[in-house]
Amino acid sequence: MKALLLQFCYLGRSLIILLACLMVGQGLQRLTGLPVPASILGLLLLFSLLSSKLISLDYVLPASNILLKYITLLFVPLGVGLVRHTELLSKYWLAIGLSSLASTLVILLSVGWCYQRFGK
Amino acid sequence: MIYFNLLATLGVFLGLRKVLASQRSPFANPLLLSIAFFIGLFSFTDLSLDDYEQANLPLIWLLEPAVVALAIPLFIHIRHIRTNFLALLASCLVGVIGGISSGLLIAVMLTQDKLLLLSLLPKSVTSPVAMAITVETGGLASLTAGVVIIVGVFGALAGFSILRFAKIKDARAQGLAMGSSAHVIGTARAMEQGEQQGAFGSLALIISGILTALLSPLFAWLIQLL
Repeated sequence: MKALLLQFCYLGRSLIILLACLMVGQGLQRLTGLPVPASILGLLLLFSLLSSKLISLDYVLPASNILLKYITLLFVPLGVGLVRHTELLSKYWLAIGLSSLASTLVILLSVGWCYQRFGK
Repeated sequence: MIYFNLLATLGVFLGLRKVLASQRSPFANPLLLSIAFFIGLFSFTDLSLDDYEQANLPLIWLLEPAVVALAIPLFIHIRHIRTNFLALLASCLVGVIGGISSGLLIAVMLTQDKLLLLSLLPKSVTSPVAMAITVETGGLASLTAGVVIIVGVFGALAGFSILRFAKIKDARAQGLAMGSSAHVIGTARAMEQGEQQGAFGSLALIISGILTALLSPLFAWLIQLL
């Protein structure tokens, strides 16, 4: 029972750290007007806190492990929301489809080829 | 009791994940099949999509903290790649610029709708980042979110076959390509192929996300000039 409670506290602590980084990111974005998403600023902040050893990796692992393990689940409601755009999709399906296809192919091949060639 | 909808998402996704765990086919993808299931459900029944989306908001809220949590794989894996960091950054930069410009070029040939073009701009990066970019540049966030899923699922399904066909066999290059082109969904697929693919997938998705966020205002400005 005590162990379970402790686990719960660790989970809470890690979630609070993640949310705090996100909130500082939001604050930074609002203050500076940078065109970078707040979540990316939060990511960079957490990364620098970990790198400078101000926060130990163990402190953030519990919530992060769960979030990253189930991250694709979080996309389900967004994908279902496509139902709302059937009109736009049926009007522009060719532009959306071909453009997505082109970008994905170009990125796959250019990144894969560049790194295979120069990343030794 | 609209929160039944949230339980339905969890139940369908986790159930499919369990059932499909041993399947090798790329179409046996819990995300793809869960979305297909609910799209079918809301197309053919009178169930309320509003209630569904309302109840599932907690999942959307978790997206941003999940992006912050990506700092952890970045922190863990960056130690292994210090020497190759320049090549990695350059590869991602080439991918981001090539991906955005090729996608926009094709789209511009078919339509001049600026709202659509702006919504398509960040389609190769993970949803929370893409939606934040689209809000900054003036696109339609919910359309971007949908296109991001389409791109991710396509990359996850076809990515490794395309890479093998193009003789890109280096595990690190494969992971990097999957993470850059198909963000989290591609990275999840890369993780199944091996630890190195997964690690490089996470790195690529983070670095490409940051680069796309930094370069998007420039591309958005070009779209406005059309």
